Parts: sequence; C-alpha cells; structure tokens
Amino acid sequence: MSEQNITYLTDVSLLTCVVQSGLSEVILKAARDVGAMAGAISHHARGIGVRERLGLLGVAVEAEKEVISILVSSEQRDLVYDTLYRAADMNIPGRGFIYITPLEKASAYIPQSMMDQLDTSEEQA
Amino acid sequence: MTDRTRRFGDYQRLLTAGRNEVSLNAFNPKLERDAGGKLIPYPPRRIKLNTVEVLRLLQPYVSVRFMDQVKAVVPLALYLALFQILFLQHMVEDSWIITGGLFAVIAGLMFFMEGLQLGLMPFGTIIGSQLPRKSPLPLVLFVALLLGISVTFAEPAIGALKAAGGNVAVERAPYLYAMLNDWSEVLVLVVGASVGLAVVVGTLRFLYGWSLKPLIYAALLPVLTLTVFAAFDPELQKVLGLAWDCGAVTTGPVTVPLVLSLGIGIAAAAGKGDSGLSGFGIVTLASLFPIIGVLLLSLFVAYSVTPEEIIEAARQAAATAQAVEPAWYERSPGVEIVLGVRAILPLVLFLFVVLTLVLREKLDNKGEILYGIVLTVIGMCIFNLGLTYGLSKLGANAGGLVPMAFMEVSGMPASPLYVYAVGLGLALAFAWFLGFGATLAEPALNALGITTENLTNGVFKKKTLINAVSIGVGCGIAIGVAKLIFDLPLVWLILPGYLLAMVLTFFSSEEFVNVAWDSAGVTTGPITVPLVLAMGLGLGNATHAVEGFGILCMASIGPIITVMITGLWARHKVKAQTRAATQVPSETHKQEAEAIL
Repeated sequence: MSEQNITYLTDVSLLTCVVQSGLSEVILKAARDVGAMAGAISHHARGIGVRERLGLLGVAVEAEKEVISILVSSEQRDLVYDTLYRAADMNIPGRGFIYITPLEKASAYIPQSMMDQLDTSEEQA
Repeated sequence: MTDRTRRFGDYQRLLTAGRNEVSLNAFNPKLERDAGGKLIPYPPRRIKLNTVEVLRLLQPYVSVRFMDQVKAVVPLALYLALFQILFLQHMVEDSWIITGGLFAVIAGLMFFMEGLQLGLMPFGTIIGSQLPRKSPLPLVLFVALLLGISVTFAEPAIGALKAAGGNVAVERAPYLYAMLNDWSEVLVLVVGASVGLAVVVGTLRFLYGWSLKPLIYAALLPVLTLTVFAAFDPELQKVLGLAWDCGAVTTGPVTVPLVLSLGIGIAAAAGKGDSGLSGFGIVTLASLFPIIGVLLLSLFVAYSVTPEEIIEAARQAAATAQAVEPAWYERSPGVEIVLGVRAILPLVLFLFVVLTLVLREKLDNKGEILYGIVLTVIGMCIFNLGLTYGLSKLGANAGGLVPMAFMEVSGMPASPLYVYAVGLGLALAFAWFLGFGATLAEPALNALGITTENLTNGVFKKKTLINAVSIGVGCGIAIGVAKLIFDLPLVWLILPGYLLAMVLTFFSSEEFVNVAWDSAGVTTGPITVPLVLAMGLGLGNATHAVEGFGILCMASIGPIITVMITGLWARHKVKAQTRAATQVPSETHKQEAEAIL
C-alpha cells in the first residue's frame, strides 16, 4: 500500500450521547464492553432548556453536561445505541439524550496488523 | 415433522419489542401569525410531569447527594462505635438517639450543601465578578470585611463551639466559661472580624502580588507573642486552647468558596487572575488572624471582670435557670432552629443588599435562589439538631471512655482495662487513625491535591499531598490527645511547632508555603470539627484536665509541617536528578577535551 493511498471507511455512524456531567465513565465502559472501540471524544457543555421549563423541579437536572461522540459501524449501531440508552438510564426524566448521525465516509490511520488480518480473512472466504 | 412456518408479523413484533417510533413532527407547536402575517413569538410552555415521573426525576438527585454525606459521616461514626465496643468493651450509650442525630447530620448537611450551591453561590459569583469592576477598591475591601464577618456566623462548625461552652466547669476555667457563655456572641463576632480582616489582607496580597512568607511571619509574631504572654497568666492560660482552635473552625464549606470567589474576582478585575496561586493565602490568614482576635478579646475580658465575679454570676444564673422553665426558643429543639435561622439570614440579607444597592444587579432565577436559601436554613437547623444529639454526643462519649483503657475512670468498675503502656498506646493509636481517616475522606483536600499537582507540574502528586496532610493531621490529633492526658501546657507544643514551621517556611519555595499553610485550614470540615472538639472535651473531663481544647490546633500545625517537609524532600530529589543529568555531559566534555589533547 503506497503512502498516497487513502483508505475510506464506509458503513460508519456517529453516535452522540448528551448526559449529565460525571456519567461519561459509565457510558464509555458500556460502549467498550459491546465492542465499540474506535475511540470516543468527550466535550464539556452546558445544557439549556429543559431545566428552565421544569420550573422548580429543574434543580434536579444538572446543567453541566458531557457530550460523548463515538464512531460505530452500521452493524454495531443498534446494539451500541440500545446498550448506551440503558447504561445511562435514559428512561429517567432529565437524564440525557442520545442520537445517531449517518456518516458518508471516515478516514484515519489503520494499523498494518489490522489490515493484514482483514486480508487473510478475505482470502479464506 | 413440526410446522416451520412463522407469521412475518410475529417476527417483526419480536424484533421491535419494547420499541416504538414517534415522529418529532407530532410535538411541533402551533405557531400563529399576527394581522401582518408575521409569526407571533412562541412562549416556551412548562413541562408537566406526573407523580411517577417526578419521583423518578428526584430519586437520583436526592440519592447522590445523600450518599455523599453518608460517605463522610458513617465511616467515622462506625470507627468510633467499633473502637468503643471492641477495645473498650463498652456499648455505645443512647445509641438510638445518636443514630437519629447522625441521620440528622447527614440530612442537614445534604440540604445545606445543596442550598448553598443553589441559593448563595450565585450571589458570590455575581458579586465576585461585578463588584471589583464597578466599585472603588476601598468599598470592595469594606464589603470583603463585612462578608468575612457574616460568613463566619453561617459556618456550621461555629455551632459546635457554642455547644462546647456548656461543658466547661466555671470554677476551674472562669475566663473560658465566660467567653463561651456570656461573651459567646462577641466571640463569634471577633472571629468573624478577624476572618474579614484576613480576606482584606489576602485580597490585597494577590492584587499586589505579595509573597505569603512575610505575611506569615508578620502574623505569627503577634500570635506567638500574645500566646507566650497569656501562658504566664495562670487564668488566661486556659483560654489558649480555645483561641488556637478558633482558627481551625473558621475555614469551612461556607467561608472558603464565597470568600475565594470574591478574592479571585478582585484579582481578575485587576488583570492578575491568571496566576496559579491566586486562590491561596486567604485560608491561611483566616486561620491565623482569629487567634490574635480571640486572645485580645480574652485580655479585654480579663481586664473587665474578675474570675470571682464570673463564678458568682454563673452560680446565680444556674439558680434562676432551675426556677424558671425556659421559653421554647431556649430549649432544644427550639434553640437549634433559632440558631440556624440566625446564622443564615444575616448573610443572605448582606449579600442581597450588596447586590441590589451597590451593584444594582438583578438575579435571573429568583425561584431557584429562594429555594436554595430556604434549603440552606432548613439544612442548618437540622444539622444543628444532629450536632447536639449525634456528633457532639458521640464525640463526648468516645472521649470520656478512651481514658478507660489506661487509667481509672470513676463510675467504670472495669477500668483500667489494659496495662498502662498498652492502654496509652491504644488511646494514641485511636486518635492517630481518627485524624488520618477523617482527613483522607475530606473532599476539599482532594480539590487541593489536584490544584497542587497542576501547580507543581506533577512533581508533587495528588496522592502524596493527601497522604502528607492526613499523616500530619493524625500526628497532630494524637499529640493533642497526649496533651490532654498528661495535662501538658499548650504553649510547649505550639511554640516549637510554629517555630519549626517558620524555619521550614523560610527554606521552602513560595508554592509549597502556599499549599502547606492552606492545607491546614482545608482539613477541618463540618464533621471533623464537632467530633474532635466534643471528643477533646469529653477526654478532658475524664482525665480531669482543665479544658479540652487544643486538639484542633495541633491538627492544623501537623499538616503544615509534614507538607513542607515533603515539599523540601521532593525538591531535593528533583535537584539530585538534574545534577545527575547535568554531570554526565560535563564528564563527556572533559573526556573529549582529554582525547583532543
């Protein structure tokens, strides 16, 4: 493979989780456990909206948020999505928000060992 | 053969079980247009939750905050109770009342901390960022002074000092009794004024970038002079422990964040907020200045009344108290509630006046802030109740029983339980682990550890600092307990300790001086202070010491010394490494030179 070659990864989706600050550890562990290993990015953010609209109950909603973005393959997508939804207890009000964005393509350096593994499995097939 | 056909509908239901789809369009609001065809702005509607949803929303909110306090209180209480049961073979007295009291402490602290966060901190942030920009410096400093006074009143641990006053025997330490009972309001006011002064000096310090070292020397000089002076007077001597402990009590969960937000705001307005050390120093000064204040007050008390007058007045008060049934607000639990309201409301009023009259600012979230303030007051009242029935009782119990291990205690037929040396060792080990464990769990110390690690570029690890401080507090409390057991004069412990600290300060770098002196103030939180104070007083009563104060101040000097020693050692190690690194190339240069020659 020459240096100029670009490998496009296809069938990629971006999974984004918005949760209250401090939950990112739980999310990342759950994602790792179901094999979403492409790495994750976490941002700190401040949520606006729900807290104000809940009135006094809004104090129970933490305004400090963490936004976690994870790249997943299309086959993993639904499994990871459901797992993270449950791991973060998103069926509790005010807990968080999760969504998927389809990506057209993505590129990064892929370690040679992983590419080799891919070739041998293709030969066997 | 079985029928292998399946309905497609069954398969689909299995796949989508527990899932359903709703289009977001279904939630779109109905926008209306006015006569000109323009869209009328749509006001956000309140979200209505039913009871189940509200409960599910509140459950994690409450449980996280509750568990935070449980983690702080329960291990300490268990340690005290288990030590009594296992080593002293004595059941905890009134265990149900104490359990209820501890529960009140947990609930009270939970409400208090949450209320502080929602109700008082927004004031602190706005005042801290706006006041220094809008007002001249003298006015800002004046506000800082008043803030220092009002936050001291709101500090939960101050209640422990007042509670301790009832346990002092008037005949044996009349001045101490007078200061904790007749003069207790003045005492808190003096402590508050000292904290206010410390805020002013500390703010000026990072405004002009002064080094902390000369300030420490300058503060220690009058502190130690007054201490030595008081030590020569047989009556004033007994006030020393209280004076030194006051320094440790002042720096708690209300003072530190509120005062720091103002101080940092002032420094930021002057364009000097980016120094890593901006937050430090105020805590140190706020634990040294009250000592001067309280010692001066004790001198004033000594000149205005004689011991005989105090004893006489106390006797008369005791006589009348028995005759008249006290009003509801002078009895428990009424008195705790009154104290709670009196502690918080002045601070809130003061902050409100500054905000509306001086800054002319408005708060955006009135409902939330009101809720926070109400929560703070409720929390303070419940905490005060828990203080009386839980922490103070438990501490006093433990303190009264520990001497049983090595000496005869009246009313305890089995005492002494152990051979003198073994029992004494056991008592000191108990004190050491109490200090060590309580400090290890202190959340404020964790924050200080992170700051220190950043400040020293990772040379001084967070864990190293936490360990150094915990060991220091452990040793300090053990020495303090030894002081009570052997009835040593406090001067002989304080003077060498602080002289050593001064010498170490001279040799340490500015960063470590800041961290070390501040760590002393950080360690004494709202759980440790009442527990240790009450334990000291109980211990003092059992060993027939004159007064049970002095343990807390030993717990302050301990970490100062250990942190600075650790800092010096770390610097020595870094120096040795760099020397080794620079020596190698110079040797190779020499060899090269020799080769050329």
